[in-house]
Amino acid sequence: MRDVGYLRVGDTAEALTAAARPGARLIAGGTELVNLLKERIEQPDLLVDISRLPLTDITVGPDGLHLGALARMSDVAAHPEVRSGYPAIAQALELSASPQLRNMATMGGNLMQRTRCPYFRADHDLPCNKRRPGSGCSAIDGDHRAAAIFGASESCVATHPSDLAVALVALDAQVRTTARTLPARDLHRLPGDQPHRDTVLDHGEMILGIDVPVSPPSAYLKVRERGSYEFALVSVAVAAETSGGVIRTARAALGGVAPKPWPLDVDLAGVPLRRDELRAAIAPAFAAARPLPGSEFKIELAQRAVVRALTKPIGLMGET
Amino acid sequence: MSRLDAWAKASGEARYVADMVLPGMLHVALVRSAVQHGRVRRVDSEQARAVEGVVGVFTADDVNRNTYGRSVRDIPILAGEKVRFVGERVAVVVAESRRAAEAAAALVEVEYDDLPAVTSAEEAIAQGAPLVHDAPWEYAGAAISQEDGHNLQSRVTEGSLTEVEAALGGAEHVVDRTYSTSSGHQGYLEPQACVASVEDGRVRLWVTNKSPYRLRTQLADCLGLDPASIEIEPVLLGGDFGGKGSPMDAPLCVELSRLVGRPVKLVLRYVEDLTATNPRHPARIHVRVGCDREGRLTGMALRALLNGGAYGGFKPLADVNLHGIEDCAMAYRVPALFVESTIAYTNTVPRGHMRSPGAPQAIFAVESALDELAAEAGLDPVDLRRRNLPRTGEPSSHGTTWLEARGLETLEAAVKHARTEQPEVPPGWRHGEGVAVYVRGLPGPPVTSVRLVPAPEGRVRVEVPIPETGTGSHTMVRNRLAAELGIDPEQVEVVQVSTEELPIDPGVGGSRVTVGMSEALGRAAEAWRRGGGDEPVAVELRPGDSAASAPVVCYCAQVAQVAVDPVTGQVKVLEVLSSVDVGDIINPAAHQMQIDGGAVMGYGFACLEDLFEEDGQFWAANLGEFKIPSTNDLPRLRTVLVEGGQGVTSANVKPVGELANVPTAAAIANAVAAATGCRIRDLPITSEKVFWAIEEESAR
Repeated sequence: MRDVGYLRVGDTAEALTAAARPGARLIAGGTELVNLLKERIEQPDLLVDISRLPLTDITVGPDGLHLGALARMSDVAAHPEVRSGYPAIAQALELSASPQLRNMATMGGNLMQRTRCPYFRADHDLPCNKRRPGSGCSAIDGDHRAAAIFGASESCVATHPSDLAVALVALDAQVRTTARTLPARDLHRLPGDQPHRDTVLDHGEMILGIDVPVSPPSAYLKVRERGSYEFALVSVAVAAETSGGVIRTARAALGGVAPKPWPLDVDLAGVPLRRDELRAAIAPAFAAARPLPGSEFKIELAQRAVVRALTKPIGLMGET
Repeated sequence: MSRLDAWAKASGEARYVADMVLPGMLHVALVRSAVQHGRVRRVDSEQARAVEGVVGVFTADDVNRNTYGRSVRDIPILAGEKVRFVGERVAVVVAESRRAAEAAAALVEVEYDDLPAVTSAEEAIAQGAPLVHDAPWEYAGAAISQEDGHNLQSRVTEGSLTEVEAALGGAEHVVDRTYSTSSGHQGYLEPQACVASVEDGRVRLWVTNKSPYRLRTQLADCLGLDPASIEIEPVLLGGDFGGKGSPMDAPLCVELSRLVGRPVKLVLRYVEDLTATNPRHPARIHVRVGCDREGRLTGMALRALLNGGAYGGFKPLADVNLHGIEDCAMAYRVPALFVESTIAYTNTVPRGHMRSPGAPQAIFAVESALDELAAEAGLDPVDLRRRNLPRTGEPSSHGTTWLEARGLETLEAAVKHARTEQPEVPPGWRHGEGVAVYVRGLPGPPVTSVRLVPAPEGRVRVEVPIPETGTGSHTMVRNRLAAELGIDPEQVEVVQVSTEELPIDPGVGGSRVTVGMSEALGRAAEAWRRGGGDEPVAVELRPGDSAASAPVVCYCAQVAQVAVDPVTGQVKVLEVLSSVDVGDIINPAAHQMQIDGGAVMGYGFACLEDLFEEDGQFWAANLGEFKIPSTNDLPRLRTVLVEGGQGVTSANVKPVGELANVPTAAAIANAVAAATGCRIRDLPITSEKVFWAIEEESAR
């Protein structure tokens, strides 16, 4: 690690001033940024420690759920009303990282985490447009098993690793920042020819909180190869109202398949909760999939995961 | 009875090599090759030298040009005119702080002329392949000759292929299959580290090495020093699993301390451990095996081709091979057996030893092939094994007649207990059960030394030559000596002493510690009692001194229960039951830990672990990417001890450390095949391999 300045701020105004400085980077739980520093992936000049700001609230009201940007993953996941009213969020959090990390990591930090693409994280100096703009993409011709099947570009095929973000998109959440309020589904951007930019946030812009409207029953399903401390090969969050075995309304989003949480934009109203009908209903959303040879399996896997998430008793803890 | 090292480790008081501080100590950072194979054209260290705190930047020109190794001495201290793998040491920075050393190392510019590279064993042995070493047979300790072919570290054959082919010609059923395994890492948590101090011609070393007496010889051989001038100090090791047996960076650190005239310290970053030390050999194993109408094996030919990486010097055996390959069929009666094990040089990280070297790869192949043969012959896989396990008094397939052959009992116990308690299978998932068997012989006759010294308040201090690697060996020593002397274990102090203090020991490894220490402690206790316990007693077991080398083997049979999700291909290992052939057990908790830890390691090898090798380098740069099992993944572990076995030494022991990790992968692969009808012959068994196999099967 090289020398880096450190400033702990006491209020949001102070944070904003500091964060606006060139080379400044916000730090809260530090579970992601410290890794990026150690691996020399990020080399900020100043760390602005916002962990003492009063943004740790978890409130459930008639208009929905409000999460402060600094609420800890473990606290949100354990909150009884989150568990009962927004199970997809609690499940997505509990299936993330490890207990030690969840005790430190925050809501805002979780959304800001960066891809796990091995070339982005590699110790060697390898082409990676996300890490070194213009250097190329090693994954396209290399190991791209974990690569995106939607939304990738010739510059980058990395996926976004957050489980929480996928649940938030399915639950139609809004993200509040110091500059604006935007739908969770618009927070992360597609790589295009600028894959080094993961989100639409500007330099110095800070996430303040997350607002989730009252949600129909929801669930999060994560398919991964290890039972803990493991990112999704494919994940799916669903929020659905059903009656008599037929979907009335449903929203779903996929994780592990795109550079951002991928909304499953198909109308499922009126579709019976049966495998074949569901497969037929979601199939059009997969027509746009553009896998690489090694990530092709994700197309089938993702569709099966969606069917399973919808047909399992809603609210069941996401099993892997 | 708690473990001696438990409190220090749990409280953080334990001190490892990385914690060592000596007065005036400098820090070392390595500059590693960025290319697989290339001539070093230029090393520009000007910018690095200008970094504040840098004491020196050194290349091969500055250090001893002799090569080193555990058996074949083919490893340069720093790469000279050419580099042979990504990660090889090319230059080194010594500085006042680790930070300065690392910052400067990043500024060293190395220019290479790329050479054509070979990254797989198959490529390496092909006609006309680029040469990793021009004349590998010229290295001291080389196990091959010029006539053997190019890019070979070693080739070992046993038996006659002609006889096997004749036997298979008359067989009722024959299967012919190829299996492969990936590169894995030992996964110890403590990084490789070395502190070296050279002062007035005396060398002192604190190093993450489990074979200090051998290390002393290896250093002396390489650096042309008198072994008596080298002292390896006692250390606590934070895990080994086979990865801490080589000199690694010790010769370099000795040279650096000599050059700068101050002690130096090198602690690898874990990414260096994962990508540039001495991980497990990936293997491609071809098995041809046949049986008669009754399911009796008639012949087996196994040919293994292993990727040994750029250097063979991290393997300790004189044949530079892995005996686990040679012993692949020892569990059964095989009338005609041919085994060939070839290890190739490639432009990849040098491979070394990992827990029961070669056996996990070979047994995965053999035990998978036996299930495939059983299917071919229409036999139950357990039945096929029953018909081929030798009984006491019969010679094994390798010709030895053991004191006892308890394979059948061990297998029956495994199957009986596995079937009394079936695990719960998630709805919609398919269940499968798989069996695999492994047998392991004893290490050679014990060679070691210990000393008992009277300590205050009637206590006994036992000085041992081996470090505690994390297995509980020092606790075993305490318990064993207390039992021999009939005293309270609390009255026994166990200390590792430096190489100055005791004469001989081959180090931890080869499952030899409990056997060797039991023998030495038995003799020491006898002398102690004779002498009344007033005087120190030293015992030295030299080669040929000991009777503790009876033809004793230990069987381990495992039954794996898996559930496979036909929708995603996900494999859940529900249970691994280990049935283990044992003698007497000195410390039941430590013994059980070896079995449980073994099964977990076997599970990781089967289902998860892969360093993601591509273009000769590894992509798994940390323990998030290199997936060893987490607690959440663990199958239920059950153990059945098949007691009453005849062991060795006055303690009647059998080794257990390299047993339960071996058959697990085949047991799991066999269970997956039973659940799905799909045979995965390439480890690890990932969900997508299973997914596609199921897809193909259902498309058929």
